[in-house]
Amino acid sequence: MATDAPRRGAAIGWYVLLSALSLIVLFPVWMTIARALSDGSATLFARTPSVLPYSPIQWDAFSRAFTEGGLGRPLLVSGLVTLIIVAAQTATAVGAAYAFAFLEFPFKRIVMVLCAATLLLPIEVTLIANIQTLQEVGLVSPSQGFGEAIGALTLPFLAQAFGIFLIRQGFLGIPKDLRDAAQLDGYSDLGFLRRVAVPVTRPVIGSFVLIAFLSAYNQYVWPRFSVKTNRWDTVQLALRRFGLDNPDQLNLGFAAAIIAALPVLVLLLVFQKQLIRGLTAGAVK
Amino acid sequence: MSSVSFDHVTKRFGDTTAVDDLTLEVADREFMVLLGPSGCGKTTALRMIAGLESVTEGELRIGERRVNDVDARDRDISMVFQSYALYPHMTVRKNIESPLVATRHARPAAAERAARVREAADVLDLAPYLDRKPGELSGGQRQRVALARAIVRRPQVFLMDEPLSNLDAKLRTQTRLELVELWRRLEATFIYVTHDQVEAMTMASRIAVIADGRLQQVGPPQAVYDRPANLFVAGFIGSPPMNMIAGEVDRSPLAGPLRVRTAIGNIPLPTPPTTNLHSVVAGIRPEHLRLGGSDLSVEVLNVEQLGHERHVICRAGDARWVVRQAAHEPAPAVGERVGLGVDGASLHLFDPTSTERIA
Amino acid sequence: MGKRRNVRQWALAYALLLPSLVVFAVFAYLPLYRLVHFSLYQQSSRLGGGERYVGFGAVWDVLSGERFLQGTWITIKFLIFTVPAGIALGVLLAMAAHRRLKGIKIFQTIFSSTVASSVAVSSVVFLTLVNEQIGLLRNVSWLSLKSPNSALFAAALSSVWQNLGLTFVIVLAALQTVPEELLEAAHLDGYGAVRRFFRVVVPLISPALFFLAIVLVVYGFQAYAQIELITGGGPLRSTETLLYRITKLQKNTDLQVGASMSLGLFGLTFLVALVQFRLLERRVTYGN
Ligand SMILES: Nc1ncnc2c1ncn2[C@@H]1O[C@H](COP(=O)(O)OP(=O)(O)O)[C@@H](O)[C@H]1O
Ligand SMILES: [Mg+2]
Repeated sequence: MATDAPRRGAAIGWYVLLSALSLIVLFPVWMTIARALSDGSATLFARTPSVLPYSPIQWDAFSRAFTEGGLGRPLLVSGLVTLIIVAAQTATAVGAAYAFAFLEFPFKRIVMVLCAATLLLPIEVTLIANIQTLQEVGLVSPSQGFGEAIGALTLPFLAQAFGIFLIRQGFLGIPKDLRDAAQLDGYSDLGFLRRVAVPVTRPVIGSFVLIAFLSAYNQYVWPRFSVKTNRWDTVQLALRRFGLDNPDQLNLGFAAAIIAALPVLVLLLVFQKQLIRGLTAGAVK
Repeated sequence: MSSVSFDHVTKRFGDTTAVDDLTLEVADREFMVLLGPSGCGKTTALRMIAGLESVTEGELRIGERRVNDVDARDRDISMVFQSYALYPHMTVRKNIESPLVATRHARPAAAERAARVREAADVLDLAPYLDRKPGELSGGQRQRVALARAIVRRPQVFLMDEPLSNLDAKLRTQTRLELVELWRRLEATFIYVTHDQVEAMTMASRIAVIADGRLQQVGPPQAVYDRPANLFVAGFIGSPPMNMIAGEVDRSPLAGPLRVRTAIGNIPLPTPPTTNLHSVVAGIRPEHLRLGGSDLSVEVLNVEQLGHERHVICRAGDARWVVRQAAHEPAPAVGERVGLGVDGASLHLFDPTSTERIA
Repeated sequence: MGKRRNVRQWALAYALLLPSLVVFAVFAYLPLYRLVHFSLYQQSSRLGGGERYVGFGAVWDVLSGERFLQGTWITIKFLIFTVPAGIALGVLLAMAAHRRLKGIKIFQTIFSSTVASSVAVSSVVFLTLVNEQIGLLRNVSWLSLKSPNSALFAAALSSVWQNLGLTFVIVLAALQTVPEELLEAAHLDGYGAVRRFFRVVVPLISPALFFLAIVLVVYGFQAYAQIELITGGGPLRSTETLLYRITKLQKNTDLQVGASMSLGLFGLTFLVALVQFRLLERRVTYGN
């Protein structure tokens, strides 16, 4: 009992510190909401900057981001592109991981090294050569159509080494007895993959799906140069549209930024544990 | 139904020979126990039958069929693993059903599958747990699920790799009985691997003792116990183990009756040994020694009370011996020198160089 | 078992690997080859005008030229602004949030929340703070977009904020692996909080910190949206990082320079990977 008072004092101290840190972390978000709610001209011509929204407050900024800002189509493009990339990356990674974890075949080591080495060749390094290639085959051009744009946005990311090795690690965690039991039960390789290996490693695969979603949806550099017409802008690219030169729509850019972050935020809140496991894979044990 | 035979089977992993020239016939509907210390190659032998390990040399047959090159999935065999190897993401029902679903041979219809799962679950008292996942079961229940999964496909041969080693002592005794009952009911061939001689003695129709990848002796438990084929088997089977001592056969008529001379006294021989060896190793089981005799002389180191009987630990030359004594007999004092009487008829003699039994 | 089974296994393995291998061949190895090619040949300005071999000398000219070195230097400055600060803030947040308190999960969620913001989103978010016309902090000199170093710093700050969630999550996960008894033992041994932190905690989480450093360096090399959206490369190209410069060199006539600089960026990435590899190796050998 005697230690209760100082304990409570310490706890209050921690709460104060944690709250202060939370305010600092969240402050930029608040500023973005405040500017999204402010009238653009008021923002541009405010003499002393304020942390509060400038009046008249524009409650409709978020809906106008869709109507005047045309955010609907980029969201659809982003959704489709993300869906394709996540589905393809998961499928290709599961397949390749299975081969690396459970099958014996000639040149296995070399193939593994070649896959791992692609981690050294991020899209930023190969950017201009890849754009060149896609221009030559007609996927990247000012007149690119819907299919071409989607192709250009997704093709380089249909497979990716990080996922292969993450999921392979998960597969290697399956006890040998379980594999043997499955073989005696009569499962073929593909049957074992579908009915046992994938369900058993679902946590790992789930984490990977989240990570893949995050990086596919948040991409900027590759879409920036593979999409040559703003008809097929992704959400991230659409954020460039709202400049200072159009005071009427200035706040829509900030509203759009909030909207753009929402899907990932929802994922973060719903699948916090899995997402964190994915993000920390490789960092700790 | 199905016998299993090893015909000069050898299995090598690189430089290690896990199973060395094994020739063994497991008869149809037999409960064969492969017994030996850890690392002796039991599991490897079992996995070769299952088809999980290839045969390096020799021939392996199930029934009349040579199976060296038959895929594991086509051998009609069930195996129970030491770790149970249950699918953690499937319910007990799905686990038991799994061999019926996964098979690439005639897959039974859903109704029949359900009936067979139900039947297997009833045999093993698992009906109340069918919708649970393995993670929600106790060790004993998981073990029974593994058994149910093994029996549901009605194979010709059951393989079990130390299936009781993850259970506590009490459950182990109980499950031993259940396994034997299961074997009687199924009328199938069981091949059971263990390093525990009590399991082997209590369950087996026949025991195959293995050491260092080599078969030492095959036979019914009592026969192996009564006439161990060599020093290894003599020392491995029996608890407490057989007492051993080196000695010399004294066969000169002048020296009086036939006997084995040892550092701690002489053991009388009722009949002349069928060997002309001079040096031998004499072995006597603890229950064949009598305190208060006058053949041998030993020093009492400790007395272990077991309730129904007593183990007297003695120093016999360089060795520790154990004498089994009924609880009602008077216990010796620790530190006392006592005489031991030996029943010559129950004496085992071994060739010290070849380690083989001298008949 | 048996040869037929082996062959079937090979076929299955390559069938499963094929999609990945095709993607890697077309979008990682082919471009690498093409970068080498573009760097050695000057493309003609006319479409289909052919190319002229210029050789390794020309690559060397680019890599020792002002454009590349300046870009590298700006990139390194960006790293100096982002990596240590990122790690320090991650450790600070994680230390604060790694304790048993009612409701601590809420704070942990808040601290990890910037994971949700992309580089583009966080750049737009930081416009509300540092933009020359509308930013709340536009008059703060060390964040001003009007002078070279402070402009780069402002862009870097948005990166630091954006990466806070990740750094926090990683350091927290590492802290959670530190056994509590160890800290209590250190406490009993008479170590104060500060010494406990530097003598016990930091060594134990150092693998995670190294990992974090590598990740942040790689992110730094890939920084683009921050520059484009916050500073536009200015003032006077003073915030044009390597990647930013490379992206501007996509015209036929610029390809030789762009490809050479891409190879330079590849070399830098490679170096970092080498360091990472060495560290991992050490960790495997001496760790635990
Ligand atoms: N897959 C393998 N690779 C290499 N050596 C093995 C393998 N499996 C078993 N061995 C070796 O073969 C010998 C017999 O092993 P095992 O059959 O598991 O023994 P037991 O089941 O009797 O304990 C041991 O020396 C073991 O190390
Ligand atoms: Mg074994």
